[in-house]
Amino acid sequence: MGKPETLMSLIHEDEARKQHQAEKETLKAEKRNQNRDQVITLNLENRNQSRESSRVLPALRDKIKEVGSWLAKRFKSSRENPSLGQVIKEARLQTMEDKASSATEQAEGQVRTLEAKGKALGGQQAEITAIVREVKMADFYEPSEGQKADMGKLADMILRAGPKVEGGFGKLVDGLKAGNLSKELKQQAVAVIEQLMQGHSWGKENEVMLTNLKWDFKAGSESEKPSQQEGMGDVLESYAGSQVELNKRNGAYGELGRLIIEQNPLMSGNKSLGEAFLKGEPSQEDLRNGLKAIDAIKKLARWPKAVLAELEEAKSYIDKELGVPGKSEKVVNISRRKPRAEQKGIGIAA
Amino acid sequence: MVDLQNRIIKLIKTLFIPEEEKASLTQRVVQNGVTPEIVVEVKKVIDQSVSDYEEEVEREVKKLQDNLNKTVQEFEREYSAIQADAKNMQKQELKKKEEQDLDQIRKKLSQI
Repeated sequence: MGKPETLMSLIHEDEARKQHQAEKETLKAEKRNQNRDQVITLNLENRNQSRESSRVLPALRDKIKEVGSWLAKRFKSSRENPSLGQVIKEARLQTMEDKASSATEQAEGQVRTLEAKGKALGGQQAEITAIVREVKMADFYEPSEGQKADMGKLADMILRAGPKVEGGFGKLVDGLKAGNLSKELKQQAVAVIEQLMQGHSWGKENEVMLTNLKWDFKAGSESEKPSQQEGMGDVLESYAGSQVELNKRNGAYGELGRLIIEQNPLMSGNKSLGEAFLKGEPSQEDLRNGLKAIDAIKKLARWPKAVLAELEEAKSYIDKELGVPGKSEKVVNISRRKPRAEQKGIGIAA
Repeated sequence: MVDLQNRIIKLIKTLFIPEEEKASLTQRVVQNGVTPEIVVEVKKVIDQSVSDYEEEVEREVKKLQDNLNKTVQEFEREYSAIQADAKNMQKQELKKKEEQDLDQIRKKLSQI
């Protein structure tokens, strides 16, 4: 048998251990319960929080959406409707544009008025030129500044030529210097120019000038001073006719002269022949050579109608000056020939 | 001749001279016919008118150019001023609008 104290102690020990164990278990349970409560509380809190969030967020989202849409509306509206600044700017620009436009219109009006006056003056000039051409008489024709200068040169030439020029030409020289010659003095001037050109070489430019003056004076001296009371119109018309004819002759000869120099249609003497026609004073021999040159030029190329017409016209004047009967009128008319259709029409009518 | 006389009378009517002078020239043509003197006189009148016209054109062109330049300069100045004013105004408006927008946003946000 063991000792009773030992057993008892063992029992006590066991009881103590059991109690301790129980206490331990209780504590554990308490702690477990406590933890469980905590978890439950937390869970509850979490659950409550998420419940709260799920309620607020959509509202916030709605608000944000609302603000966003409001802002978008404002921006859209500001884009669609110009700002006050923009409106004022446009108005002020419009005012300036109106002002500029009105100034431009006014300026255009003034320009139109000036243009109309210019046009009227142009018409007046054309008409007075035509009238002057028709009534261009030796006694009242006022030479241009260029002609006056040429007349002055001629006066100097006459003085320089001195003894070579026959007769006394004091009056002529005075008239030339004054740029005013009577019919008689013009006739005298023509004779003097011819003498001057025969006796001396004055250089191409001077010779052309002398030739022009000669033809001007010749044309002027051939006319007669009309009586202011009677017959002036006829004289003027006759004068105008001769002047026109002379200009036409010189024009045709000038063109022929130019072509002779350019094309060299003859074996020799082209330059002098061309110059004689350019000056408008071909000799009898020049005229005969001119006819040959015309035929040769025609064969050189396929000429435009205008050139052929000029050559024909020159030929007609040469024929006239050489006294070829019956040819001149026919040839002169070539350049004035009516269009084929018109001729045909006349033919049918006839 | 009659044709020439009619033409010169018609021409005189168009001249840029006082009516009395036109009447006097016409009377002389009617009385004396187309005399050299009258033709030269009419021509001189026309030449003088052309010369005066050329001067007038020169003067007017200069005046118009000056006016146009002035208008252009004025326009440019005004345009620059308008641009500057508009820019300032837009800035101010934008600022004001921004402030208004912010206020509105604040208000709306405060309602949340």
